[in-house]
Amino acid sequence: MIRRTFLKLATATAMSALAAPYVHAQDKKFAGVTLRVGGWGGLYDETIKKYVAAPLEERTGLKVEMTAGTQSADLVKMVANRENPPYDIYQADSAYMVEALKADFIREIKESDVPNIKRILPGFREYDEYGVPYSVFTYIPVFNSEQLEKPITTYTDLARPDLEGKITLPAATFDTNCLYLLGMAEENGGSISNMEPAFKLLEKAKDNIVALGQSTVAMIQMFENGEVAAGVMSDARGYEMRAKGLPIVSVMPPQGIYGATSYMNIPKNAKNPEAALAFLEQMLSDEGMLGLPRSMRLGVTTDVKLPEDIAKDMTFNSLERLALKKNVDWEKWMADRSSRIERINKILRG
Amino acid sequence: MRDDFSDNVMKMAGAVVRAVVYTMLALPAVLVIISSFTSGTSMNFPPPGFSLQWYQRAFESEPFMKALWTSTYVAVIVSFLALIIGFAAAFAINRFSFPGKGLLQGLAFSPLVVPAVVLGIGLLYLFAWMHLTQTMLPLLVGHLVLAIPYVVRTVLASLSLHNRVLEEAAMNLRATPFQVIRRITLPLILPGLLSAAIFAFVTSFGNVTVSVFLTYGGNVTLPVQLFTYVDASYDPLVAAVSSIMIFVTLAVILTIEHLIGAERLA
Repeated sequence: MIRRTFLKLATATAMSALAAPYVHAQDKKFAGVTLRVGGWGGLYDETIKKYVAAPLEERTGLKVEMTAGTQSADLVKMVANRENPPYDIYQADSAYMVEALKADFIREIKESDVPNIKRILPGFREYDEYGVPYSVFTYIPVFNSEQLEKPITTYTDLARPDLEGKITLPAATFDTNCLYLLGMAEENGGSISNMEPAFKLLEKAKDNIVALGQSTVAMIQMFENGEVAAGVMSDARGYEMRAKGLPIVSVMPPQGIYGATSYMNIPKNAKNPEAALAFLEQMLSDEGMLGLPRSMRLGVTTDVKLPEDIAKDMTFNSLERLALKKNVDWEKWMADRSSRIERINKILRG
Repeated sequence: MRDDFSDNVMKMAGAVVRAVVYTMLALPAVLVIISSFTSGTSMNFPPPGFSLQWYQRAFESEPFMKALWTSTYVAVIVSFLALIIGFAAAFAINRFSFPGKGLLQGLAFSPLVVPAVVLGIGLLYLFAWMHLTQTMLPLLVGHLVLAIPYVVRTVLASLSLHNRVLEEAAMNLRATPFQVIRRITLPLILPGLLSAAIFAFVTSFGNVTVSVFLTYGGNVTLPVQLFTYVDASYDPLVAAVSSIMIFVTLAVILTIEHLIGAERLA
């Protein structure tokens, strides 16, 4: 009996020893490969490195190189280098996805390529099989609760007369931040094809506006210095200010919340498409998906379960909240870009 | 008496204008440096307390330190190359008459009139056509194009102002043209050359607009890294990194000033 057990154990050990290098080789199947990812810099990139790149490198040996840049510059780089793209993963938000699809340099990604795609919540994959949505920014009204007696509850409230000289709005050139206008329009009977109600409200809100923020940093500074009491910002920036101790309240307009989704894409001529698919699979895993909510309280796109302490600071933290997410016809929104900018400038300068 | 009064008024007005201009130039940098030593988590002025925590984080940050190294070596190479090309161009413009001299002069200064974004995109397409975008070359050439006009202008001014009698004397003593340049011209215009090198370094070291289109493969310059960082997060780390940029630039200027003296540099 003892002899039989000994033989079994010895055989098992010998088999394991023989199979180990093969298993190891399978595990480290991307050893020596460097995946080039177009990043957006700062905490955003650090988070993706920590929750997506690092675990993947540990498991597969894949080295990830993130290059910080701006969406506009990255788009130009991709278009200029179609045959030899500078990135294996190109990131774009909903607005830039329209441009990327027009430029025709990204490939389709199917569920069979990235199995975790099946976990994406309905409504988040806005461009059929193009792009993998992995995060959501919402653009919502925020206000300093110590400076305002009456809270803001809707996008329309930004035009309230009691807010004279108290608000900041994003500059007209920020396509996603300016979704507040769509909120104003739809709250007042308008639509993406009929923005007149929003422009009328903006006319009313003219005296409320202290300055148009040319960057979110400038807007944060206005809040920190007490120059403004309200404005429109991304949920991540609202959380950032709260985390620094400012009494900032993020408003959840009951008629709908507007936001943009961030996508990861694989260019048609990417050097390492296999590794890029593995990266996307890890991004959509629970581990990858919870990174950005942890660090910036950004919304998720899959059915991942959000920890309580994180969920309380997030915009889309429940099915009820998620039901408020408004779909945007991005093609139309971007097609109207020039006329919208012109109209906003005309109203605010007039 | 009346002249004395108006002279004094003009002198005082000049002093006031100078004080305002110098204050406005220096104040933003001073505020950033002071804010970088904050013990708080936001960039407030005055800071609530003194701490070096943001500098520690800056030096521990791999992306920022890598970017600082990239910016520094690109700026050093660009300064060196811009000096060689700029001096050659300025010397030719100053000393010789040749067909196309006006065109050369115009070309040398053209990057100053072309918007940097246009230049960046143009260079990106040019290098994409040459299949060279994924090398350091576009970044170097982009910065070189931006730096050359400043070098040509500064060296041209030095060449125009310096007395050529010594050069003529050397030639009378049978020195070759190369010997004249090496032993007479270059030492005489050295302050101008070093000023030009400073201009080239600063132009390259602080550039965002062109660099953002020409960076590749993780070789991001410090201003681009800083610019994108601010887009995603806003804390005193930005002030600490900006202060490091200011210190590096100041160190370059002060080293050169120490080597040749401030009066000569002016």
